[in-house]
Amino acid sequence: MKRLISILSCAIIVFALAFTVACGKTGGDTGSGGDDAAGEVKFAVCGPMTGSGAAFGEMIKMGARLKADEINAAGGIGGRKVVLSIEDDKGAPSEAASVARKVAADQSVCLVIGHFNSACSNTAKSEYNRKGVIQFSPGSTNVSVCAGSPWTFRNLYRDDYQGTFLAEYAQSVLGLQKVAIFYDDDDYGKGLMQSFKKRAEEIGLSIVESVAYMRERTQDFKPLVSRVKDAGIDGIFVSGLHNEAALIAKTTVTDLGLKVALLGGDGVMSPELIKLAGPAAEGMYVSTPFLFNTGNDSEAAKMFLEKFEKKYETAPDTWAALTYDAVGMALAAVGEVGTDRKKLKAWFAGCTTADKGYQGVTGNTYFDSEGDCYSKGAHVAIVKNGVFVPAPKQLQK
Amino acid sequence: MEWLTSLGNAVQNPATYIDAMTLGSIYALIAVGYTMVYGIIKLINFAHGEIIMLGTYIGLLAVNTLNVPIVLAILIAMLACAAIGAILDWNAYLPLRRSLPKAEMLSIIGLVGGAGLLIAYFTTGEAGDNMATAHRIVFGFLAVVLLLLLVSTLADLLGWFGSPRNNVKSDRLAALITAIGMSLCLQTMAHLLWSAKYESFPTSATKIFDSKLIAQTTEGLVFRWNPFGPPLVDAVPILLWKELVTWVAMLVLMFVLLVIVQRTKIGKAMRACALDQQTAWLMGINVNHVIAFTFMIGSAMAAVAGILYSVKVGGNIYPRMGYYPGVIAFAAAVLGGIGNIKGAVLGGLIIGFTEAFGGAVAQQYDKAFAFGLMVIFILFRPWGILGQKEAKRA
Amino acid sequence: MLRALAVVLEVRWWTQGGWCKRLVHLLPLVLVLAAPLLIEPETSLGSVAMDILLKVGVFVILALGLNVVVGYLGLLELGYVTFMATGALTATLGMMTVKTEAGWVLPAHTDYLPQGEFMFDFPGGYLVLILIAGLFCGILGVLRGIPTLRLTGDYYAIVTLGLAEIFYLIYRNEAWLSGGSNGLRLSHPANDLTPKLFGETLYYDNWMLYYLVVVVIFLTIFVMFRLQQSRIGRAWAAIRIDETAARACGINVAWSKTVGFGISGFFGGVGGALLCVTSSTLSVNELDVWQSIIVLCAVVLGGMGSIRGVLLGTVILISVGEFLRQDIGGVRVPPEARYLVYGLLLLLLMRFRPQGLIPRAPAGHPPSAEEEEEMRRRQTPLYVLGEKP
Repeated sequence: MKRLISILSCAIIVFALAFTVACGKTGGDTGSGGDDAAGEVKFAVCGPMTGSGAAFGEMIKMGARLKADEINAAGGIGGRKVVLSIEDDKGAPSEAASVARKVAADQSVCLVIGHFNSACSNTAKSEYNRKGVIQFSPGSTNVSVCAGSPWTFRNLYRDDYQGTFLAEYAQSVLGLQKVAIFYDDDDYGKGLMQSFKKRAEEIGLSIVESVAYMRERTQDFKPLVSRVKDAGIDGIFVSGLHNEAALIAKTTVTDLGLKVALLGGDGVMSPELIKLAGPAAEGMYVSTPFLFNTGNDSEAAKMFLEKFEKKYETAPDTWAALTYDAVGMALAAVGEVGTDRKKLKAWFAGCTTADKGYQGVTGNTYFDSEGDCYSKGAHVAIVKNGVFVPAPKQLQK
Repeated sequence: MEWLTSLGNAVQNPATYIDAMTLGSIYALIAVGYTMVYGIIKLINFAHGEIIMLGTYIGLLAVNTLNVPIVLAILIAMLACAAIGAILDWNAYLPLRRSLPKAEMLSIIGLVGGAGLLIAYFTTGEAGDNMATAHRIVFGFLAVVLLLLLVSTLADLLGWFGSPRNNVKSDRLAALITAIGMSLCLQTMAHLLWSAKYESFPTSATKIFDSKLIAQTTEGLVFRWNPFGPPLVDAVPILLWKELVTWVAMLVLMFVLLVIVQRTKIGKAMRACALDQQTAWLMGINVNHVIAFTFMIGSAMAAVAGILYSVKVGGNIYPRMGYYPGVIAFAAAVLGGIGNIKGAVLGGLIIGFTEAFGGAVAQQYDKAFAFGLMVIFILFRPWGILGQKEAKRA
Repeated sequence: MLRALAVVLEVRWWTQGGWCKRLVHLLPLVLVLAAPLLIEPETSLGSVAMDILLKVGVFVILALGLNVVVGYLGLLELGYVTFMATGALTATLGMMTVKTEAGWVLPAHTDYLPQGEFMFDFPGGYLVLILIAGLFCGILGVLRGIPTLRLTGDYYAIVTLGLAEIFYLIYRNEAWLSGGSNGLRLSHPANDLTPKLFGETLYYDNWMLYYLVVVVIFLTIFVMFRLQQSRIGRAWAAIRIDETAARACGINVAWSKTVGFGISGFFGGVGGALLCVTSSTLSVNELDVWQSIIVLCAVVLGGMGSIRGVLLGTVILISVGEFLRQDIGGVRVPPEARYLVYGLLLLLLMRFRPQGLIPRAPAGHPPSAEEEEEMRRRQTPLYVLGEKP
């Protein structure tokens, strides 16, 4: 009996190891350098597909798939089909590191569209740099994401721009004088809070208190909001993602009856906010890199809106549009220089002026020397009757 | 000494007391479930947190798909959770106390088959996306049956089934680990079925709960006894209906529970089983039925607690939501004296107050205060406030 | 050392049995030693395989450490993650400490490291760091264990759970210590803090890291084996079976338990220090109580108290879990499903085989015929009148 068990156990260990080795062996048969003999162009799309940020992941997936299907229907890139490999980083930095390893080592992937959360992008970029594959983010706004990393690019603004923008909007357009900030304690929330606070101090907007919360762990916001209730604030700024923003909005409006202006960063920009907060979110201002239905949408934006609604029967949001553009720009690159990773990087690094940029739904994308994109501004949306519409007064810059 | 001023502010602010009472009531409801189960079978029911979560999700489903008012949803959730509690006991804990071969085979097929079906149904990926639903179900079921056949043949060959369990201590460890396993299973099941996106009760349903009971207007305090009326505007809420409902629910349910335990026959049976199981068997009490009934009551109360908690916080329904309230309520049960229902209520209220006032001092550490209190109590007075020192048995 | 390995891998039978048995027993060892040569970490599947192997390796060390408290001492420990997290933090912070003009400084963010000399940059620095992490966690284990010495099983479990949660909250909130939600990143394009060993940078796909983990595993098995056979191991077995009787026999229960807690903490710290390098990022967010429950599952699955059992249990549990996360032929099982499998494994195992896959050798001498009869009689729940006592 003991013999049988020990034989069994050895057999299991042998099997496990042999299987792992076999995996390693067959893995070595794919080509290297990003060129795929099967004639496919493969991108990896990494984002929070499950978890509390799943709403973002859905939009990213839909935007990417829309572009890929469009190009495939038109015959592909140089006759080659576009294939998307959707990876889930659950919004957690350690998962992002795992995903980055898997994706960067896969030589058939020539470019990575991702990640979404700034903390995930920051964690994953070292692996992408080590293995040499472009990471093109449609959603990470923290200032350090592209810093020091020649392989990382993004097609939206940075948080120092966004924080400054929001502080100025709060003061000049909304006329607020005393603001309390609730921020998520990760890269994104903290970075945005710091730049908002810095600009607010410069322009004389008084920050009564900045309160941190833990995403997915802090559940009861009443004690937090009660703390700032008696300080005479006229505005609350939520620097974080939509789940907590919804809870804060609900607590402020329903539980405490505070009549303050609610302001949110672009992480709040998601239909989930309205679904979770209901009427408490009415009148909440949210900053966003891109707005639909502004009245002077570009042709590309109108067509995108139409195509998206036809295919998915739901309205797109900013992140779908940014991902659509990211995939489009990457495919334009592949069309010009092929799927070699280094050549793609050289192409991206060369897009430094307006005429070399990519004209997409969200505007003209081109980068500076770090990989940041300064060509697009920020806009403010407001929640009216349960949908996001452009705010009546935008900041004139 | 910034924390001292925060504490001072909190002590003077009536909102902290209201919060403490509300949280305390919720924890008391959950703690009672833990304490009753421990009193009868000496098991820390880790899966209780998941029952809270399931109750909340069922309430949410009732409100969203059946469009029932929230009070009815709470009743439905209570009934459903009572059933789930009994099924949990039957599937997970009963087989450890007693061997019922036929029932066991059924329950194993149910558990493993259900798991396989869930996994098969939610499998994605290129090949996975194209599978038709019917194919998925058949695929999952066949895979599971094949696996079961393989594993049971192997186990039979090795003579693994029916190994005798001699040591009482290892039985308790086995039960505890089974509880942990069940907790994992239930969490994952909820995650697969409803995904980890945050949900919340729709505002249309919680309107009566969110309306103000006592509010401060420019003319002074206003008492609104009619929650169905038009909403007050420009009034700073002091007490909301949902908070009052939570307190009342806790008091009513505790009263009902104490009546059941002290005055009814089944209550007498519960007390007898908690005292001495073997003698209870001898007296003709079907101990297993009594245990199942205990689970049912505890689970029903947990369902109420879950829904009220979600309404208080304003949302926050996700598969892991039951873990923290469960663990803290367990700390509360231990604090008050585990095995003692009044102790559970007392412990729940104390922990509620600790969390509310501790949270006013250092918000991120509010749960740490609750855990710290529990640890200190266990180190110096493990039998809790209302418990009695037990003689150590070998 | 060799004898320990030999018994663990049953080389004894290797010399007695035929060539078939020799192969079956030797092959795992050969494969374990030769794995980096056979797997090509440059490829996608190869990198996934390396990831899985490293994770399994680290969890083996952690499980062996937990086995001291759960298997040898017989106490249920739910707060093992404190040691994992503390060990990982100690190692990561040690690697980040840098000497500037103002003295030794702990930078708050790996992205903006000041210039200066890193404290553990000397050759072999990482090994020293692992030892420091282990020692620190061992002391932590002793400190945590002393107040809980007289607690019985359930209460001990709750206290460890409570303390683990407190530590988790502290680590999660004190961003200057642990990076909060972001975690601490060991490698950044501008500043690579990944430790070097014998000139090789310890990335996850580097064979040097793999062999480091393998060497630590062998050392751990050796230590566990010797402990099992030693006086203190027998004291632990006595305490597990009946603490009062052990005390009556003159065993210093407090001392034995404390040493047990210390050793368990030590290996938890070592495992944590290795964990942070194998995943090149330390996210304290992830190191919550559920991680220690997974390690507990592995120990229980394999068989509490037996080294081979713990090895087998960890290998099966972790590799099945990680395997289920990957694509298999285009079909992707939902990633949460592995927790469902873990839960079911626990349920079924406790029902049919609570002693685990490879149960521990029973302590003491095997019972004689009269003792067997006596034991069987004592188990009857009802007192039967008329039997001689």
